[in-house]
Amino acid sequence: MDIAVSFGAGVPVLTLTGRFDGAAAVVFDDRAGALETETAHWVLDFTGVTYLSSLGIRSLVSLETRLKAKDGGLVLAALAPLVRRVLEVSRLDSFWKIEPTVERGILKARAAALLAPAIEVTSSRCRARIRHLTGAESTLERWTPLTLSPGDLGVAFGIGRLGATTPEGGSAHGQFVSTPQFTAVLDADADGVTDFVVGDASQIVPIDVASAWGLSGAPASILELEASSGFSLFDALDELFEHAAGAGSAAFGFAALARTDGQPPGVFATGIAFDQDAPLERGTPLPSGRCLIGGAVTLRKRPDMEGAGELHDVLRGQATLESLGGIVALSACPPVTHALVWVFAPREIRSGAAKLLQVTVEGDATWRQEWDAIIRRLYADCRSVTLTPLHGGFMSSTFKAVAYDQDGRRTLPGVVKIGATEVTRREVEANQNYVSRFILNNGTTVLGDAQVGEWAGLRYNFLGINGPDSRLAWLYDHYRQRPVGEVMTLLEQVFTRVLKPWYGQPKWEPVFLFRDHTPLRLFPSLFETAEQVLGIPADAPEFDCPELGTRLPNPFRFLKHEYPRRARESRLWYTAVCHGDLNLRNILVDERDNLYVIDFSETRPRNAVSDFARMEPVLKFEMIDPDSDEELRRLVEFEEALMSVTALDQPPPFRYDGIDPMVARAHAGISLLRRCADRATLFETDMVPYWIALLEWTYPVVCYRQLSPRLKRYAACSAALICRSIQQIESRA
Amino acid sequence: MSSSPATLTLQVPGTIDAILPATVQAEAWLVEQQVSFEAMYLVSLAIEELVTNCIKYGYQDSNNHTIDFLLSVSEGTLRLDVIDDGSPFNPLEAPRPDLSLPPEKRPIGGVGLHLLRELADEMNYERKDGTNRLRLTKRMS
Repeated sequence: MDIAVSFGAGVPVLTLTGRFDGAAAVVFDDRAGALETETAHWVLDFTGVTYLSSLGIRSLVSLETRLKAKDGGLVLAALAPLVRRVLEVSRLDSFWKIEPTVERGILKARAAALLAPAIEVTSSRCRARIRHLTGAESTLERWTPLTLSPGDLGVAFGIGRLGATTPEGGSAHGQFVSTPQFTAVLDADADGVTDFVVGDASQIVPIDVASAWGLSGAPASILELEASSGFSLFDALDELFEHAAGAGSAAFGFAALARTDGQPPGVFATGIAFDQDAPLERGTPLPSGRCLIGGAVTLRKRPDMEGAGELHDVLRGQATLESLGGIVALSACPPVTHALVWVFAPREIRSGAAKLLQVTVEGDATWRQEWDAIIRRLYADCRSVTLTPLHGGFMSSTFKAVAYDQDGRRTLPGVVKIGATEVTRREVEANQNYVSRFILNNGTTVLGDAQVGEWAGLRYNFLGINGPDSRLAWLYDHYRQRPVGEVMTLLEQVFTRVLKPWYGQPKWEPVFLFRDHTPLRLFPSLFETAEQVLGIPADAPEFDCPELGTRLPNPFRFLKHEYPRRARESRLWYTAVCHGDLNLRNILVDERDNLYVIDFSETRPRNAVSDFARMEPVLKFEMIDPDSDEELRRLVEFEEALMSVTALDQPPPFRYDGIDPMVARAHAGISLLRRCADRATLFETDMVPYWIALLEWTYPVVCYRQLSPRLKRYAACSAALICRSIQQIESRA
Repeated sequence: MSSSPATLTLQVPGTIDAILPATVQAEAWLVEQQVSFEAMYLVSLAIEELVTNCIKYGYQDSNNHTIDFLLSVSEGTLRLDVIDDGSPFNPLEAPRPDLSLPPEKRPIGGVGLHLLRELADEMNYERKDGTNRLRLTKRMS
C-alpha cells in the first residue's frame, strides 16, 4: 500500500492506495507514527483502498487511540462498499467518523479541530460560553498607504477606497471594514452610501488603503454571548477578554456577528481594545480603562448563529448584498442579545508591509501597482522575489523570477506571466487540459495563479530546470547560431518527440478552415495597414509583381471576400491538439539540449497541420531581411518554388541564387516542417489545409512593427503565391 | 448446468510472505470463475486471517507447515475448505469480540474470525486425521 501525505486546509490527509493488509499495516504504523502534525484531526483518503483486513483495522484503532489522546481523531473518507461493510461488521462505523468524500472529510476534521470543550462563564452582562482554540497565533498589523487585496488584510478596518491607486485619483477615501467574505467601503463622495464587494471573489478586489489596522492569523477563542435583554457587546467583551484570550496581552482583537432585539436586526463588528497606555489614535474608552477602535456594518437580516466555526464559514452565505446594511461607528452599534465573537490575542504589533513579500522589479518594464498584490499571492511562500522582464510576450508581460523562501533559501528560478484575466485563464485551462496530461516534462508546470482586479498572473516553472544555474535560451538563439544539422535535430525533436502526444493522435472530423484560420481576430486592422504600407487596396482583383514579371491574385481581396463567403464551409480533415502560436521564442533549450514549450493560451484541438504552418513564416520573415530590390526578387522566386508543390509529401524545390545563408537554412527547416505535417496527417496529402493555416500567419507580417517595407512586400507576395496555389488546386479538383 | 464444479487447490506455506502470492493466485482464478466481489473479498480475507492465525497460534514445533485452501465454484456457490495440521482449534467456539465496547477498549484479537463468520453464509468445522478442517460457504446470487 502506498501512503501519500498532503494537507487540505491545514488538515493532514493520508492518501492510501492498495491493499490494507498485514504487510501494509506495518508500513502504515511506521509512517503514521513518524508523522507529527499541528492538528490531531487527520483524514484518511480510502479512495484507492480495495481491501482491509483485521490487521489493517488494528492499525486504524491504534492510530485513532493515539490521536484521541491528543483530543483528535480520524475521519475516514471515500470508503469502497466492501471496505465499509468490513467496518460495519466490526461495529466501528458507529464509533468512527466516516464521510463519503475527501472534501467532506476535511470539513469534518476542521470542524472537529475547532471544537474544544466550551467553558461557561457568567459576566455581569450576559452568559458566555468560551471555546478555546488550540495552536492559535495572531498578529496585529498596522497598514500605511498601499494597494492591497482583502486577502492581504485579513480582518481589518480603516480608511480606504475600492480599486487600485490611479494617478488621476478616484473617489475619496472613506471608512472601510474588510473580512474574508466581504469588504464594505463608505464612499465619502456619495453621501454616506456604503459600497460592498461580497463572496470569495471579494478577496481579489484591490483596495487602495490610506491607513488601517488588521488582524491576521487564528483567533484564540470563540465566544458565544447571550442575554435576555440587550447589552453592550463591547462592555461585555471588555469584561471577558482575559477569560477568552489569557491575561498579559497588550491588545485584544475581535470580530463579532450579533443579533439585536430591535432595528437593525443584526450587526458585524470588528475592533481592537488596547491597554490604556498603548500608543494610539482616538478611541472609545471601555469600563476597564482600555481603549477601543474599530468599525461595524449593520445587517438587514437576523444573522444565523448556528455552527460556531471559522469566521469565514460563518459569514459565507450570510454576508450578501441583500443582508448588508451600511458602515457605522462602533459607538453607534445597538445593544445586542446574542453574539458570536472570534477573539484574537495578538502576539505582536507590526507593520503590515513587513509581512508582505518584497517585490523588486529590475529594468524598465511597465509595472502596475496592483500587480504587486498578484505577485504577493503567487509567492505567498516566499520572503522576497526579484523580477527581470523577458521579451517576446505578445499578450502578456513575462518576467524571470528569482525568489527566496522564508528561511532565505534561494528557490529554483521560474517565470511569472501577467496578463488580462481572460488570457491567463485560457492558459491555466490549457495547462490542465493539454500540458499536464500530454507533455508534462517538456511543458510548463503551473505553480500557482492569482487574480487581482482585471489582471491575473501565473507562476510557472519547468520540470527540467537543474538548479539555480540552469541556462535557458530561446530556440531562436540556437537557430541563428548553431550548425544547420544541429538546428534541424532540435526542430525535429520538438515535432516528433516533445509534441508527439499531441500530433501523434489526430482525429478525423469536420473542420472550418476559413473560419478557424482568419488572421482578422488578432489583427482586425489588417486591410487598412496593407493599403497604407503596401498600397494594395483590398478590393483590387490583382496586383503587379515585377519581381516575377507577372500579375498575382490579390491576397487581401481573397481574405476580405472568400473567407466570409466560405466561413461555414466544412470539410473532413485531421485535427490534433495544437499549440496555436508555436514560434522560436516559445520553445526554450537548456544546457543539455532539453526542450521546453511555453505559452499555451491559444492551445486547443484544431487543424492538425496548424503548428507546422505557423512556424514556416517564422523561419522566413523573422530570419531573413532583403537588403535590396534584387534580393527581394530572389526571395520571391524562392517563395514561388516553395508554393509550387501540390501535395504535402512533395519536397519543396530550392530556388535561390543569393548568398544569405539563412535562406538555405529556412529551406531545410520548411522541408522538415512539411515532412512532419505530412506525418501528422497520416495518408492525407491535401495541400489546401496547410496553405490556409500558412496564410493565417503570412498575412499579419504586414502589421508587424519594426519590419522593413521590403520584408512586408516579400510577405505579401508570399501570400499571393499561396492564394494562387489554392486557386490552382481547387480549379483542378 | 455443469455438474462438475471448477476447483483450485492452493498449498500455502505457513509464512507471512506466502500470503500475498496465494491471494493473487486465488483472485486471478476467481475472476475467471466470474464470482462476486464479495466472494473474492471473503477468500482474500480467509487466506490472510487464517494463515496469520496459524503462524501465531497453530504450531507447537518449528517445522515447515503448509495450509491447504481448496476453492470450488459451482451453481452460484463458492466453497472454501481450509485444512491445516496445527493444534486443534475450533473457530466456532472461539470467544467473540465484544463489539459494544469502544474500539480502543476492545481486547486485541478475534476480529479476523469475526469478519469471516459475518461475511460468509456458512462456517463449519471439524477435526479429522490430526487436521483442522474449516469450510466457508458463500452464495453469490
